Amino acid sequence: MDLEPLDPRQVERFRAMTAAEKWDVAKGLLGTARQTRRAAISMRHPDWSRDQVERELAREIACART
Amino acid sequence: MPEPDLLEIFARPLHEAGARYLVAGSLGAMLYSEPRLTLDIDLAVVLPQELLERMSQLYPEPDFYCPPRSVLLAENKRECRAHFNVLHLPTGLKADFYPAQADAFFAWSWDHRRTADHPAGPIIYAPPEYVLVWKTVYFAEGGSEKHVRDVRRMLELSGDEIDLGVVEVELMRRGLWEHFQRMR
Repeated sequence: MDLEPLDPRQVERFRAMTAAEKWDVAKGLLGTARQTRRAAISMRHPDWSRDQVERELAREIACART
Repeated sequence: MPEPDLLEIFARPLHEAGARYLVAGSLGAMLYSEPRLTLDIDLAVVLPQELLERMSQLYPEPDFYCPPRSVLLAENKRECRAHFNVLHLPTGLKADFYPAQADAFFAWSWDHRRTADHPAGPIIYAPPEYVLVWKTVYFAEGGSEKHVRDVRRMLELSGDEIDLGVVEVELMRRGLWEHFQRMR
């Protein structure tokens, strides 16, 4: 696997972050992923209610793997 | 709409119940490396009978799927690789539970646990050695490169606080030290 070393400024920043700060970033990524999937579902099914979209989003997330 | 929080949904109930649990997996790796996307949480946990009987209260219907008591009992008795899932149904988010009372390495890891403050309260994390060992186990089984990335980033960002001697002893015992050497 090719994995570039982090930039020294990233190293410094990541080392300085608290657990809560790191988790805030990860939560933001999760939020973005969910919003993107939510938008895609709404585009595929413009007639669906918000509840239907949320149920489909939950189903897709449950089937996804990271 | 507020986005869901894996730690609040799955780890806080265990913490408030006084459980011996460790956040491991990708979330555990994050503590020693960089933030990344994850949709689930790995929780190594000791489940004494009293706590096992309360699991359906900690993760109640209709918001959660928690396996039936018979499954929890069977998994909890398993001497190695015990596992069950709890699902948060409104969001589809998942916790992998790894009952660990028979695992001597869990006992060592509990003694070396890290507690980190979060807005909803403290959360207990596995030490980096525990995360590295299990990342290696799962890489050996599944070959997913996400484990390689997590291991390399942990070593890059927190190498000076990791006791590789502990990792080596545990992975030698499992016959996986060579896998770890290839990953790093």
